[in-house]
Amino acid sequence: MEILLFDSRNDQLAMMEEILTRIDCNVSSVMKEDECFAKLISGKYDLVIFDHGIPGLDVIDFVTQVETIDRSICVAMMVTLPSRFYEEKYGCSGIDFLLFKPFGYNEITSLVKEAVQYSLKLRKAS
Amino acid sequence: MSLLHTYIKSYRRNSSDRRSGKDRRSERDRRSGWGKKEDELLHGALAATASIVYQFSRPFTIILGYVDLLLATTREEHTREKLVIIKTQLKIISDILDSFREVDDFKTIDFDGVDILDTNKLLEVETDEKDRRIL
Repeated sequence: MEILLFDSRNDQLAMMEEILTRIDCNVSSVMKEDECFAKLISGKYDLVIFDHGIPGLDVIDFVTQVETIDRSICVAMMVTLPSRFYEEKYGCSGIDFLLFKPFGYNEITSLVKEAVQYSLKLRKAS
Repeated sequence: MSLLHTYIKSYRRNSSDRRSGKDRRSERDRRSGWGKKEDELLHGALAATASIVYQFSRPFTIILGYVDLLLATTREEHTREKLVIIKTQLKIISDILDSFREVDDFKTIDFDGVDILDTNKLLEVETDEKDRRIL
């Protein structure tokens, strides 16, 4: 599975990258929004994982642009606040998965498994 | 989309309660009180708990991730035992963060003369799995 990781801080990015590589995913990491879009335009990805807390990131605008580039990409957001907040604010934004912190190996593995299945559905639909 | 299937809890009064002079509050509302002061206290508690969850979640995620990675690669038994203990403690902290995430009522308990936010009811009840798993 081809995964694009987007986070403004290297510590969480490095940990995620190590776990995803260990479960046989091909991972690319970026720390800036424009780098993220450049990667999405130049390569084929099944899943984009990004952090809700990236300074200056407009989540809805970001997800809309990801969808514009490729509608079949699954989008997962790493989050911290109560689920009701995300339900109300981003329920219709195009985010497919929420990954609640703190999470570890098992949660990341589950996300990848679910994203594989969902990605197939999205590809068929598009 | 999976997000749409999330159940949203709400304990606010409905519009008929506000219109009517009759006290239609539930037993739960009468117990804990209801009014401007309670709303302000709840608002403050929600802000405080959201801040705690927000600030602590990232470092705990990184620690948990690396503990999991070490457990997956370490064969030495004594080291594994200690890693399991660390992971167990991290799980406890994670559950506390979950309980903070689910605060929707202002209730305190006395701890040696100091009021602390009561999150015990949330820990006793099975924490809603939606906040521990991927939606």
